Amino acid sequence: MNGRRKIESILIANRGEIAVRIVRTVKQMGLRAILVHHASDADSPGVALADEAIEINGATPVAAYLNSAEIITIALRAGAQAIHPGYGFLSENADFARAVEHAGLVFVGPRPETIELLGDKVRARNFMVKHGFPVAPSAIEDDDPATFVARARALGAPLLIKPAAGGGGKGMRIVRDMASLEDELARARSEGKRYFGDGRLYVERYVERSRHIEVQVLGDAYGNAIHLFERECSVQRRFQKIVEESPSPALSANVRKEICDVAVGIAREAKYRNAGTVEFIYGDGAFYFLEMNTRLQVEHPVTEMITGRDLVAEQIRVAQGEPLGYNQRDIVAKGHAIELRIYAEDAARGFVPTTGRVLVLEPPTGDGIRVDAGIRAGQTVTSAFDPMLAKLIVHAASRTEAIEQARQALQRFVLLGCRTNIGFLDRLMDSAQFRAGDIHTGLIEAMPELAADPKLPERTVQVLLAAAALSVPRLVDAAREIPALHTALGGWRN
Amino acid sequence: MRETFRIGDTEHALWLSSSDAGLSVHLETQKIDADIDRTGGVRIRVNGVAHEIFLVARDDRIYVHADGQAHEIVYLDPVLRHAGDDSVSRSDHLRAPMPGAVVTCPVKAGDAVEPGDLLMVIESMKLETPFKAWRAGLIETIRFTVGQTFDRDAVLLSMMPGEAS
Repeated sequence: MNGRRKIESILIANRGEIAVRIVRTVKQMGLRAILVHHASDADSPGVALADEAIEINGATPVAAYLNSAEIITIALRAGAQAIHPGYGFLSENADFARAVEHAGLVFVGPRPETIELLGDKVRARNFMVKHGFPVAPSAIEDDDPATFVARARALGAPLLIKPAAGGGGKGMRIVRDMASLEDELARARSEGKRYFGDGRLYVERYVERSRHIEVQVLGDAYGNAIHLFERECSVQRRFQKIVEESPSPALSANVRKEICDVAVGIAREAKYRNAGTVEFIYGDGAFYFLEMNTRLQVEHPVTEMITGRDLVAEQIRVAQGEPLGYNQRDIVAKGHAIELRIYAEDAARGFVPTTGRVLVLEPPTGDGIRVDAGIRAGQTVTSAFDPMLAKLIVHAASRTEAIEQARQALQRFVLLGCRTNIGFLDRLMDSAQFRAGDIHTGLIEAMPELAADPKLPERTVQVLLAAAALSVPRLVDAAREIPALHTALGGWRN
Repeated sequence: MRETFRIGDTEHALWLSSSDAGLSVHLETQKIDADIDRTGGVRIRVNGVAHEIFLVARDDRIYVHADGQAHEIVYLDPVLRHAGDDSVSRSDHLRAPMPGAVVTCPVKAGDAVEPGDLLMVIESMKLETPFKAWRAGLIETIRFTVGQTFDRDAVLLSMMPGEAS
């Protein structure tokens, strides 16, 4: 168990919007924020906001943020007492967490053993079974490799194949036709080997039209654990979340209590320290444990908006060895929050990532509107990193009002120079399915018409053509030089 | 002179005229009176109705935020439009269908390849995509090395006719 340890400066080992987000809270707490960054991020807002910014190196920009030895050395040299890993990169790397602690620094996250236990999907699943938490019917290769295929077949279609060491949707395959089971297993195995260096698999019953519902938990070093309610993250594409909200439109008060209590039970049983998220699959009235993410989530602002708690501040307090200091009754949810992820991608062209220089950036502002952005005007969006540029989070009294607020904010979100999914998100918010809360993880694939560029009203086309024509100096100059009479005669006869 | 602008996949022809009243944009079937006020935000008046928009032009592209959405308009410059016909040489280049990074590249300049031989594997959107030789020939140049990133439409590799010596 950790003793109390005052943290005065924190090194943030991340980039983009989450670096800005963490730097902001660190400074608000009166602590010093040290941000490491690759040269390609020298222009980023996080670097401008941090008290100190230190360049890190690597063969590629991503490799720089994974260079744990260099990051720890810099933290020690800069006088930091703690490292906040954000999400992605080193955040769920138990070896990194251990190395940070061996260097005498505080890792802002769970214990390395907890990351190890919950990071391996098969081990985590066995842990849940052992303690009586609900898991989907499944077959695990490691239990008996010789009978794995037969056991998988016995579960019946549809099935979901997952790599034991996986994450982020990589190597996951849905099998609806059992004739292709062995082919799909072979493909998943090769993807697992390539991405995680580990070809072990397991197979789960797949719930069609299921929902993804997760619960935010918080634990301290003294065995206290609470939840901060659920987030529904069913709107996904290729296992990547796009829209998250709380409360979930699918849960009754009873099921909400049940799913939140199970999540707290898991956190308590795992002696979970710091912020974490327990993910569930919900469908046909039942929920199953999916996985636990041992870090801050991208979508944590949804929870912050409805509870009024700063999760990064809570993470830092727990990391200092402070007890939570409050209990479940003190956590109250108010209103409805929706987060929309703004990606550099072209929905109409199969969601391919886009690149370009951000020429104009005017995010919306106002009551109940929060924008967490990792870019600023003038910065170039490259393909070197994840295409998420910013998150728009809205908060209103009801779900209907939150949707309306989201639409207005999306329409006022000005980002020119790099194509984004903002228009797509607006159409999604406006769809009957989303408005009705009738959402599931296959929704985007089931509504391909949302991805197409809509036909523009004639009035808009007129505005665009007039704006464009008046923006080409050569055309304007030429028109002004020619007397009006001649142009009137000229017309279309060229 | 008629000028061509493209919005999405649709080309629009127009020409500009000026009179004492200001500039007019002539489309196929209509005439729009328009002027732009660039003090502060951009305000464009089209047929007397004012629209608050955001506008920025860069090279041949005009980016406009209007009516609650971002739009990209391409000015098809008549000079550039008829100069760059590279349809013959284009088939000898492997162009990137999307931005990404090179994962592996088992060939090198001068190698002879047969149709179907693996030329390069790229990673984009967390997916690996292999590219195979579309015809027999010699590898002329490889423009990106393993780990390097590229934008959409970048020439990744060029081939030339020939066989192994």
